[in-house]
Amino acid sequence: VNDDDLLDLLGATMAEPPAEPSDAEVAHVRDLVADRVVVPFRSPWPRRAAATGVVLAVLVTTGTAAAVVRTGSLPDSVRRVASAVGLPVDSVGVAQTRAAMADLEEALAGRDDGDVRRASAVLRADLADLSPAETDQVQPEAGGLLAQADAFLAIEEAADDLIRPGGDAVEDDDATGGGDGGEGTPSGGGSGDGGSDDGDVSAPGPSGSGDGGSSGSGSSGSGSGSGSSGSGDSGGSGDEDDEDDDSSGSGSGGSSDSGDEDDDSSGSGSGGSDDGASSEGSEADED
Amino acid sequence: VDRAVRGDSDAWEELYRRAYPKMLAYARARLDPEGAKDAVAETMTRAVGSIHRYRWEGRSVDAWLFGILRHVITDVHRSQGRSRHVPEGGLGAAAGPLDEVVAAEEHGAVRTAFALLSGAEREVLELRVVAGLSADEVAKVLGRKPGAVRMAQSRALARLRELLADAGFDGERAMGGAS
Repeated sequence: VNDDDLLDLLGATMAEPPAEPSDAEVAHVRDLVADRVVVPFRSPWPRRAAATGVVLAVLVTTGTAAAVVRTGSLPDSVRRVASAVGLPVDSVGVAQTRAAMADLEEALAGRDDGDVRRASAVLRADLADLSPAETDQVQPEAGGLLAQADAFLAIEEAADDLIRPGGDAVEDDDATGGGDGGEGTPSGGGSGDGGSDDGDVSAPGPSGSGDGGSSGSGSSGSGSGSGSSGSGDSGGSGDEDDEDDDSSGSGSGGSSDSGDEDDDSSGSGSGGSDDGASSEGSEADED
Repeated sequence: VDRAVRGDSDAWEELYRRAYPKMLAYARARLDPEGAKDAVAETMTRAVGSIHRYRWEGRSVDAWLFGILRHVITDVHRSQGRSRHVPEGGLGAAAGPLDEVVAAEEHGAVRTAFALLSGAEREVLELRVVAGLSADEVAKVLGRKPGAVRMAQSRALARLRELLADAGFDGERAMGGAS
């Protein structure tokens, strides 16, 4: 008996008498079909595409929201509501303060004292407007930035102070020696007269030395005189008004650095305000 | 099937009446008579609820229905603590007109030998003979590869042949009787 024969024999042995579902069973199935919500056939692809779209939309929305929150570019109105309902979003005040901190950080990186001064002022104002709880959120970082800003500004001011005395001296020279120079220069070799008239400051010295040595040496004397104490001394020594000379001489001596660094400015400082020094210097240069 | 998918009650009734005898026979081999009827009814309930999935499983309707019926019977066995019902005398031992068949010596020997097969062997043969499914369809119902089903069927028939031979079964005579 081969397999096919054996299967046939099994089929004959296992044959069941014809059976039919009862009317009740058939009615039950019909009721099921009637109650069933017929779902029209649809390819699974549109559903998959829709599901993919939903997933992408969620990812994009979530990512955008996260980026917005992280970058702090949330509109204030939205931020206010989000903060009010307890979402992990900075309050408007904290967000503004953080922006001010970012500005100050940028100003410090740029090493611009004006920007640093302005940014730190804004940050201090923003900090002052915060509630204690909000202040706690930003204080450590803001405090560190403000300390850096203060240190930076202190250094800048100290540097300015080092420069400023020279400028003062020049101004003093202008007030005194400049006038002398002014008098001395027009007179050329006779500047010694002018210089000796007032007997002031460096101008008399250089001009004094120049009175004999002509305006050329006088002008060079005035250039270095405004920047060097030597000229002051010489001026002082050349004059009788020692006290004035000393004071102005020391002043010009103090400005020696600036005179060295910037002869033109000191020269113009001394002569800029006064015709004598500048004209004297220029004449000397030409000579 | 398309009509059934669209919710045509007549189509469902036709489908039900055509599949009912085979499903009932398959269920009666595993459950008591009332349980078998309930299992068939539950199968149709599940089928109506999930007909929209039929197309995508690439099976014939019968294979799909028998797959559901098999799950229903498994659920019944599980709820009964896996106490599987084994009809006395194996398949075809139910009361009624079959008694006439039982009287035949050959058929009795076949049923006895069949009852000695393992559960897996019986199931493959039942799906092939009772449900009238092809080997490929049986494979899909059982979740196996068609080649594996063919091998299992071949082994089951070889085992059945041995058992019948041990029982002194005269195949030629039985085949003559069967035909």
